[in-house]
Amino acid sequence: MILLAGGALDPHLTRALRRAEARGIAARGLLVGPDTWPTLTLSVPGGALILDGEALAPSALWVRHDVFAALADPRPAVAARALDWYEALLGFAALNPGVRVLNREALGRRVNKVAALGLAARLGLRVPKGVVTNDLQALRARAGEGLVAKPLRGGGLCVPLQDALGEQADGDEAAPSPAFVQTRLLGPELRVTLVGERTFTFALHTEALDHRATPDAPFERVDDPPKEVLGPLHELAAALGLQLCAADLKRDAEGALVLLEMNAQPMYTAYDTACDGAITDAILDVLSAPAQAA
Amino acid sequence: MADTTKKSQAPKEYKTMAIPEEPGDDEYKTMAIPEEPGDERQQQASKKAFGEK
Repeated sequence: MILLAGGALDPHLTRALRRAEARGIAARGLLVGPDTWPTLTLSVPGGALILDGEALAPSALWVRHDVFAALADPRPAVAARALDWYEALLGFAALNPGVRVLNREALGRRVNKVAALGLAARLGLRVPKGVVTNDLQALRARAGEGLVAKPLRGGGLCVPLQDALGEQADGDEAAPSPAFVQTRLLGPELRVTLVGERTFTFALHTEALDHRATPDAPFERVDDPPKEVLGPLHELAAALGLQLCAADLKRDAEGALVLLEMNAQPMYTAYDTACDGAITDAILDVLSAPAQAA
Repeated sequence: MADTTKKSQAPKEYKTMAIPEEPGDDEYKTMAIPEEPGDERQQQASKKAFGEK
């Protein structure tokens, strides 16, 4: 039995539960809603799990840190609750090494974007040329070079450097936070979702510098990147401990594909719909595959 | 004594694997949703690249 755990508002989990039911794959949801949540007891250090009064021994676990509840209800308690449940499930995974856990090695570890780009470059991928800096004085001298800026940890969109500088007080020499400053790359953006050995590549067509600014931007499934890019992407995923992840790529002035970042908890429902649920199916395939003999 | 009035019990349908309806707009690509698990601080990250005082 597969345990799918996270937020009741997370469509990735709910569609996986529906699909598992349709395929006859035994699956159970542990879904934390805005106003409702199950009863859980995890024995420590034994690792036995009791969910709503029933002892469960799942063969596989997919846990997603819920961000949807907090998007719907910004009270700090809601985000804290999501993290508490995520932590509890990470604990279950740690106490049950025999359970197949999607992205097991990466759970509880945040992917540092700088480190990931460094690793990607060592694996042979092109990454954006740039710096991490808060040196406003130096950047103002380069404001006309067509560079872009984006936060180190996400949260904000990638914007033209000039716009980012405009948000800072005139005369300040150093900004409060360091950020990425990179060369501007060219679209369309490729979104490569990796599920085990399988890949699902889509091209997003938007004039926006950051496609998240245009959530209705058209997209289409396209051929996967060439093997000299796809191979290192899979190597990067493996190095980061990710069986499920999504890479964002654009092209540089030479036309070469450049990795922007690797996302460890991708949002993909639109792409999944466009390929008739093939991403969800691939995830279920990974979770329900027979255990390999030692 | 424990507060037994709080909403601590999941609806029965969770237990029987009926699945809550998906939200109306479930066609998330990435939008502005954090894509790194386990970091609730990302929700609170500044929207400005170089931060705020």
